[in-house]
Amino acid sequence: MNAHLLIVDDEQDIRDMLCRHFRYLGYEVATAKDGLDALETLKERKFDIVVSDIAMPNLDGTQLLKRIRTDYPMVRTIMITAYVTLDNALACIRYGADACVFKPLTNLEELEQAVSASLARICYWHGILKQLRGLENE
Amino acid sequence: MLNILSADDDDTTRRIVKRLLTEWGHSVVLCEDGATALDRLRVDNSIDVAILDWNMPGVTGVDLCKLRGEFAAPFVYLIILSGLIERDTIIDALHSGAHDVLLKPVDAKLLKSRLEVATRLIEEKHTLLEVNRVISERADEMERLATQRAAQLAHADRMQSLGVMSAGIAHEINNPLSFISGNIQSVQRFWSDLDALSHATCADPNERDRKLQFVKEEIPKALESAMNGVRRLTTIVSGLKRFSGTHITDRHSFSLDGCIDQALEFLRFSNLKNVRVTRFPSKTALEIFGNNTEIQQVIINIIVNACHALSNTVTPHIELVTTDHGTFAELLVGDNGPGIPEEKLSRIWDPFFTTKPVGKGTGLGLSISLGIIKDHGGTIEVHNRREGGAAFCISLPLYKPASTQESRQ
Repeated sequence: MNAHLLIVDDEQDIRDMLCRHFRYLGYEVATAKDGLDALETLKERKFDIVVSDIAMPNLDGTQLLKRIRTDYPMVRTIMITAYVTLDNALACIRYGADACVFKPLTNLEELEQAVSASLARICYWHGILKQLRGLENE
Repeated sequence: MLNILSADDDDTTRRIVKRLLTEWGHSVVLCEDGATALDRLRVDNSIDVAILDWNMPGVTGVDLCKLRGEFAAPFVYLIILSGLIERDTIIDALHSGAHDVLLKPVDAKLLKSRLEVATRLIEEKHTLLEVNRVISERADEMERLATQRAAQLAHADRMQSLGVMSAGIAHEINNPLSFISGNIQSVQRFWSDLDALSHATCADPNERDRKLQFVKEEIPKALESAMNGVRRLTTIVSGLKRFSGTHITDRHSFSLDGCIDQALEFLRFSNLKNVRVTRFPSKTALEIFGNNTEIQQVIINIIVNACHALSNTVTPHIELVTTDHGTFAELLVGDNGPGIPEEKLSRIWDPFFTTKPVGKGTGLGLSISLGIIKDHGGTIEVHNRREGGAAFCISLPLYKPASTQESRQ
């Protein structure tokens, strides 16, 4: 698959676990420990999908989501959170997250499917862009 | 029916008195002299009345009256018999503690009516004693209930703190659950693939090798991480158990800064979510001897109160400063809220005093906090800061184990 994932969570063990799981599946995975760290990493390299926790110090997931929407509009986002609050859910919808998966992650397949779905969306839009470029060249 | 002791060195008098008393239905104890009477009165608590001859060799009747404090019975009606009665005699006898003075030889009717007086007094005395006993029992019952209620209130307060902390606790528990579960699922995936990987002729041998290598390296790490998660959950659960126990009694030495940091961790995602917290820990290790959970409860109470005070503050800020003062440690919790009105400052320690609207907060936290700090030999006070906002100051004695003290000498 070779898509690039960025995992953002303030919990080291969770970053390691998700990194391990998705690398095995063939993704290129990088990690960040909070919103600020994530933004730094996004500046350095290109990522297709960001999987981020909401509750984090320095810059939380909701703020990160907002920044990605304005600064990196092609990057797709999936939020993982323990907090089932209305505010969080509204923020996900408002800032265009592809999915919201609740912790504890007792079923990683749900997250895997969300990532696949986001990847499918990316492929779809790449397909459209390719078509449009093809049309332009004619 | 009274139990009457008669002391007279004269045999005739004794026999007359005995006859009369028995006739009237009373039980009689005869003594030949003051000393015998005293011995008897000291041990027999059933004696209601003592008829004592004044003039006896050795211990006189009046001496016996003076010694009534040594009698076994709480109340003995004392009648002095005297062959000679003048104004001064009566005064002396009554002054020494006698209730009555009668002339010898004894006038039967007079003695009988005096005994009726004695009977009335003794009945009244018994009624009073019974009332006293009932009141005493009720007082004990009240005290027992009060102690029970106090323990229940403290427990209720802890339960409420637990409610406040629960957002933080959910986070603390959910994260380990996430990576325990995730790592196990990863290993399950590796395992189910391993079979296929090890003998099938794979389309892409490079991919197969990559996966095999990956699995070999990552399985131990995944399992170790899962075990760390289990250990973390165990700590959290045992901490919760101790926190919600109805009777916290054990004491141990613990780090004050560690206790504070843990309290902050619990509240990070709930009350402290939008509050800036600055922490100035002590440069030296502050060891306290007491109950970590109780002190944590106090700290949580104070921080939660500060957060409520900051609900309308634009840039809410709480600072926690711990200082080593040699024999004691000091914790200051300051906020930049509106402060506490001067007239309320002295009342905030009262149980049930609250500035919160009806239904929000029981007003218990600070009075219980005061109790806990006092139990730990410390002090707690509050004042408004010059720069605005309130500051709570807790002092707790530092734990200096005996060996350290000796080496200092």
